[in-house]
Amino acid sequence: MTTQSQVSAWQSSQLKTVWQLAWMMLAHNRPRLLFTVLGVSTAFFLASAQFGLLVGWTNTTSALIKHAQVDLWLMSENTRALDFGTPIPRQTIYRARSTPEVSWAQGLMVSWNSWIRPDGSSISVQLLGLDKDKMGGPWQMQEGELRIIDNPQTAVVDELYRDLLQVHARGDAVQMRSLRVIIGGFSKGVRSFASTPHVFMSLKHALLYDQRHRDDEITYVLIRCQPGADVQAVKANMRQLIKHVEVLTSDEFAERTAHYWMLGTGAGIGVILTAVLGLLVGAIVASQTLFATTQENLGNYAALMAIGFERRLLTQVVLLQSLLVGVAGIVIGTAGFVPLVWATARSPLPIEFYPPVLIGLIGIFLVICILASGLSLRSVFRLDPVVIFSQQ
Amino acid sequence: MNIKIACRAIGKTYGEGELAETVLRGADLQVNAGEACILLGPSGSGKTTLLSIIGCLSTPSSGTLELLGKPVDFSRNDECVRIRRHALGFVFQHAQLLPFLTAQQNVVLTAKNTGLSAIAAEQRCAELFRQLDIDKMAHKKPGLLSGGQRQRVAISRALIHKPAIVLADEPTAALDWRHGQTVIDLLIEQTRDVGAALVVVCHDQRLVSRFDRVLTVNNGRVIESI
Repeated sequence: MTTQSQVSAWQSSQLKTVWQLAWMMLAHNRPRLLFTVLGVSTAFFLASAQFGLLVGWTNTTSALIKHAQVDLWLMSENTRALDFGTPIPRQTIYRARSTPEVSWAQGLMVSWNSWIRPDGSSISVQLLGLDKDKMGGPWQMQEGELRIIDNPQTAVVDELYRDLLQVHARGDAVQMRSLRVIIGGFSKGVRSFASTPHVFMSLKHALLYDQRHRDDEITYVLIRCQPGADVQAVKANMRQLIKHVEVLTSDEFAERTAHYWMLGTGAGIGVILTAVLGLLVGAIVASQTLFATTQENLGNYAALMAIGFERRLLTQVVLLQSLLVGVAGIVIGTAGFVPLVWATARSPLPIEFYPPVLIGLIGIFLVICILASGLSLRSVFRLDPVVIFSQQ
Repeated sequence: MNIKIACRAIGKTYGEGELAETVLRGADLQVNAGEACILLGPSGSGKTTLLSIIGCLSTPSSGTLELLGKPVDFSRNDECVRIRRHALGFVFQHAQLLPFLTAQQNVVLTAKNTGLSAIAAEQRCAELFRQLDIDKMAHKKPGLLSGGQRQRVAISRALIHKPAIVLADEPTAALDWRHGQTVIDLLIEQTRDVGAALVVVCHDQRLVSRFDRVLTVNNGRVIESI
């Protein structure tokens, strides 16, 4: 009589058998295994680097919004992104302040400008005029203090763009729209998308450099609600009270801005396509090499079936092989990806590590590897063990 | 009398219509425990087909097969797999060992699949390897073994779980005469030790004297020579 412990011992023995067959079969042809793992890890590295780039870009496009630490953004209707706001009257700030449950509201000006570098060449920059409390500005400084922008003609730029802007120290002077600008400090890690560095000045002084906004105009009103207030209710109320403007929460505005840059401009689509191509390459490499391994071992599978191994066990061998190849590819691919994240952390084009994305990518990659074993599984399913008698 | 194999009017036809080819026409065969039979016949006579039916690897077109006194239901694949795993031992023409496992691993893997514990399987394997004089080859992969050594490992694999029936398909085909004789002698000796019925498909008429019974497949039927 078969006892429960005998059954469980046999099942445990079967698992060891699956592992032994899967691993030894793969390891038997080491050059092919190496080629497979390299191909799959390159594909995973490519896909993770592309998704990391996408995460980096998405964070870059919405970083100023997320770091502003406000509840609501008031803007002109149909504003596509932070970078493309349309001037609105400054008095909107006061109307926002008069909305029930609003505790704080200040303005922000965002516009494009031309930066004349010391060598005479010019580049486009994004000029941000910050109101009294400097919300919407840099969240960390490397040199100097942000309040220095209250001084006339004084700007803060990010240290990442020293070379691009051709400014290297506080006190350096350049021109913007033929007006003198003095560098008062350097922020840290405030990147901009599309290679147009941010230039932070006070709202009052920034308006002097900008042609799009009149003296009584701003681009956004940044709003904080009273503690415990229902932000959505305040937003709805504000839309009723102030006509011809749009009110978004910080999350909504960050999402809209990221969506515009990633999908509206097509920049993100290219990155996503490359990532998908990376996954496809991984699937093809895994599929082809697993299929070749299975074909090479069909005679062995037939022999195993003939001597009483179940087809189910052999399909588990193929599935485990695909998982082994996938896991090896993920481990090596990640080992290449992590230094890349570190290396680009202080560059204008960061590749960022975002655990949920990486975990999702690993899951997708493993599923793809299992799907890639489909051709191999088909071969095993269709194998008739009687062919063992015609094997040479 | 302990009947291990009983084939009754086994027929086998490949293909259909005009392309149909009948290989076996009512083959009858009975093999008892401890008997060693050689199955002779020209190429294409149906020897291997009969062996594959007895081995539950091929379904007969007509007739019945009884193994260990029970009829085999070929429509139930799980039953066929179970019979192959527990009741049968196979020795193939080219040994068909797994090239990526050592000789010992090849044999122990099969034993564990039949339910033997790892320790029992290793002990039995060591015993068989000693008897077959390949104990020094236990940790070598098949690629490093000679043809004769590979067949000895294959015999060990076939006998590791002490099956009631051992089937061998041209086990000497890839060997020279001297090694061929040795392999057949060892196969017969070892199967007798476990009291199994042995059926060997072979071309070589010189080996018939070593078997208890000589069977010939002719015109789709099994004829016994005296």
